[in-house]
Amino acid sequence: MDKQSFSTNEPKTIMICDDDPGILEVLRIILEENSYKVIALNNGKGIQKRIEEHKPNLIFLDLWMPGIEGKEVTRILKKDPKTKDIPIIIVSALAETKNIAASIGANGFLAKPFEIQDLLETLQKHT
Amino acid sequence: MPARLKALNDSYLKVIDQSPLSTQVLAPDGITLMVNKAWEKLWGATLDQLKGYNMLKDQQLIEGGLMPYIQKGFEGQPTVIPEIKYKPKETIKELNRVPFVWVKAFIYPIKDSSGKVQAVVLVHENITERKLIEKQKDDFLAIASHELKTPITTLKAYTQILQQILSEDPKASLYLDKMADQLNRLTSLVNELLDVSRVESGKLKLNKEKFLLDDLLKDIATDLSLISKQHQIIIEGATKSSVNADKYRINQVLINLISNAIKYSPKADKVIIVVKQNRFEIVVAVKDFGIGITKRDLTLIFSKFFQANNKIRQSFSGLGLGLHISSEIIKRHNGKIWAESTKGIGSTFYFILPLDKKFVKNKTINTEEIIQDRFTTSANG
Repeated sequence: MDKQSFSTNEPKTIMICDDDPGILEVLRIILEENSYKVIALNNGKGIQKRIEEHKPNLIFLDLWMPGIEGKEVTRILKKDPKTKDIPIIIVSALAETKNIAASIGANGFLAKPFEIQDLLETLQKHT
Repeated sequence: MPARLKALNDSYLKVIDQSPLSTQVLAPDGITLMVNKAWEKLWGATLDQLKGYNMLKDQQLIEGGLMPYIQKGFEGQPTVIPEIKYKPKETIKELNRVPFVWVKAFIYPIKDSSGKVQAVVLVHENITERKLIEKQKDDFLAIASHELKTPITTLKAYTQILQQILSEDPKASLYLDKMADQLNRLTSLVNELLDVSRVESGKLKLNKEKFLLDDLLKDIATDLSLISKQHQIIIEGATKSSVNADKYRINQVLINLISNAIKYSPKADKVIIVVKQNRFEIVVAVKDFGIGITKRDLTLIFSKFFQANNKIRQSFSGLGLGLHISSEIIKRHNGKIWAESTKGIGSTFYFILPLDKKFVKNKTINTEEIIQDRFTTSANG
């Protein structure tokens, strides 16, 4: 029995994936202020390995990143039985991509620019 | 075939042959009689290669849904097809000068003295370059919009963090609120820019889904009443079933109409929204008790860049694109949007969303009913 999984004091780990360093930084500030542990990535490459390493409770994913696209990342993660149960919240500047988020299997959608309140409510809902 | 051409005067043939616009003359049965030099250049073909080709049986045109328009042209009615992407080699294998061309096509008949169609002229304007530029522009605007929203997102987040840290400081809170408002305004402007470009290039994609308009209205009313504490947003009526439409875009239209109603009625205390539905369509009316719209302006308000006159414009900001975008969205849903107004008393904006495509033109809700029911009493009260 793994003692850790029963502990309610263990801070939850949130993975954030966005190509903009400004956004990563402010998200880190907000999340750490709210007692979350943060793993920040600036692109989707190698995300599976990082997930295995850190076992996040939720992933915030930007759709528009150079290299591997957010859509592709979501598909891959949702297909893999090891990662399919981790909630993925798509964060995007194009509000109409909300429909795409649902169709690729993401668990939620946050439009940029977001309200911090909405961000925190989404977190509470999925973790 | 040469015999038919003999009927045409030789010198006129030269005019056609040297025209810079691709011209194709066909017989009423769909067979091509002649093509000019510009045609040969555009399609990378000669008349010979059209042996056996019948335009009225062209599979690409049939599958593209264009045959009804082409047939109209062949029956004697001048017709314009604003744009079509055509792949020559899909029709005739050897025509592989280019994989595709975008053209605007004009079809007009040549009739004899008794009105019978002798020949049909088809003129193609090559708009491939324009379409490529449009695509580049749209791609650029999408990228620009994304790029602009990124620092806005970060700014907004820090503003909210500061609002929390400085919540005890009234001046700081006030100024931070003002910053947040400006950032929201900036976001709206960026969205408007991107939307109008999409609307212009016909790229507005509709993602339709079934949803209850009532729920959407309730959410918007709640959100907007937080912004204007002066105006009460009253919703009357309800839809009994769900509408099949692009929820995000209809949301845009409603926000546009309701926020306009608030904006242009600075001295009023309410905005009334009426929803009515029958088997065929839903009608939504947004009524304000504000400054109203002149008769002249009523005919212009849905056009691009319209913003009343300069005096009014100075007091109300925005890019003035909202109504234009709203009207395009409603049109794309096969609906109708219009306004009625009395200067100094108020305006009512209506839009109809058909529930079933088949019934768009024929059946309508009696809008008189809505006006009598709700608005004559409201105007007095």
